[in-house]
Amino acid sequence: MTSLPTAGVSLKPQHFAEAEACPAVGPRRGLWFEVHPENYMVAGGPRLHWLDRVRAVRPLSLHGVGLSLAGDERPDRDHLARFRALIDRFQPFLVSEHLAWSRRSGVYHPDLLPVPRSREMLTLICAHVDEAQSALGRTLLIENPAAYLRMAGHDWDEVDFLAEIARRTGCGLLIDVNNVHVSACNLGQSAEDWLDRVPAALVGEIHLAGHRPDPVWGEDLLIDSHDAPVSETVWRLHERLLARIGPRPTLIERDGQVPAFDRLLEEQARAAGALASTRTPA
Amino acid sequence: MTAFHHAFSQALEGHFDDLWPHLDPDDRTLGAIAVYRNTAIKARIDALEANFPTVSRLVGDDWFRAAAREFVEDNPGDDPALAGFGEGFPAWLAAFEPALGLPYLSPMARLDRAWTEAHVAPDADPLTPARAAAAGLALTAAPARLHPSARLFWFDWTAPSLWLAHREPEGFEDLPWRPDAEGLLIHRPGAEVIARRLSRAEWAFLDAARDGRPFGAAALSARAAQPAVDASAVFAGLLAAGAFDSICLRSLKP
Repeated sequence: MTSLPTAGVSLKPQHFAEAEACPAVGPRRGLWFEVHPENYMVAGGPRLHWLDRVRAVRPLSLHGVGLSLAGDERPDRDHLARFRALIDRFQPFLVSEHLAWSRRSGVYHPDLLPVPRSREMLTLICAHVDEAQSALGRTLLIENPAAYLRMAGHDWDEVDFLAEIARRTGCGLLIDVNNVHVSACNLGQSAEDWLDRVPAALVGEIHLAGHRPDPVWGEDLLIDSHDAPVSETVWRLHERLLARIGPRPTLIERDGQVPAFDRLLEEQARAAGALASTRTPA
Repeated sequence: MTAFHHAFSQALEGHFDDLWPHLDPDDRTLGAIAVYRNTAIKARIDALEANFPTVSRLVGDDWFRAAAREFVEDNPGDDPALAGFGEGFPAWLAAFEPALGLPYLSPMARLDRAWTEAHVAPDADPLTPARAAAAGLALTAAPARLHPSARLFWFDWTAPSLWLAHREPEGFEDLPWRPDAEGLLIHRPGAEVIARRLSRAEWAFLDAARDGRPFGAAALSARAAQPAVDASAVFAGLLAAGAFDSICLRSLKP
């Protein structure tokens, strides 16, 4: 049927028909799709049927945004049950979430909110990842979110914190290279240094996306907006990471100003090219 | 709960004092907090706009997003599945002061909401004319069941026409707001959501079915609502539209 997943794109409802029909040739042989499970947590209807059809011809990844793993409340059981039902139905090859929180005291904040990387938070997050993995029946990949705020109370550097969560829970990592770049710019750190230190064995997926400068602060405050093509800087960082760790399924993420499907496939082809020319390290 | 999460939640509502000790502030700190606040608010407004397209088209983008901002501040929601966001929006709009001069807006929001509910409702096989015919006379005594996606409306003015005209932008010029009663069925018998105008008899039939009354009793309701009507033709039309759930056949003895 299809070859191993190489470069994928975010799947949007306006692209369902093209995604299903897209022939598996050239750089599209390893094409796969990713969706937010929250958008498919519905009782029935055409959205689920379309995803069934795309899934029948392509590998699928479920990338959660609502589990609130870094929250101070346990993951919501109904949410986990709905997530599990989607995993059972669509058999994704990857399941991921974020090192962030979004739910508290009966309010859902549709955003990826930060936490201090403290010992207290490490314990809490690991308990939540354990609970989520056992409820979902899958190993999760945890993504590094974009940082905007300098916070006090960090006992860990971000790479070490992610690696420690993986060591304690058995989860893997989803490295969002655009977020690494955005965070590094916003916090005055080095993206190269960050990427050079990630343990290769933990990385199960890579995200690439576009960003834009804050309307008020300009280049001093970059926003992980997902509404523009991947920047040249991020492409270079992607190549740098691949050169060290070898190829990994790489997603072109796009959530705003979504262009025609073919335009997304141009970026997908570029990512597939970068993966094809990467050797697996000995 | 942790002090940090509490302080950050407060900051998202515009109260920054508690968060300060958790930060390593610089000149961009307020700008950075604003990124988080704006992202969450924008995502909610976008979700509301996607779920109420007819309201948005009637009042325009700017008006809608300004009203939506007030709604989401009072009703932030608790579910990450944003496809269902905005359940309380129609009722909220009815009491929203700037909309008091636009009494048609809340009804339009109710119809938009019904479309969303039909779109994500459970899948179910509609009762087909062939299966209804096979059931024969026994069907008369069987309790009717509407398709789980079905939403019924009866207005004493032309709200359905106004809504339909703005769902399909071709028929825009004449805004059909007249004091004529109109009914509408919004449902999803197959792959797509369908909006179907209802006569008074059809509405009465479906209203009885909604209460789980037998098909025979529903037909009597149709005739009571519109005395000259051919009740079996009304039933045939609704059956062809896929308005009923085939699960109602289960109550029949084999």
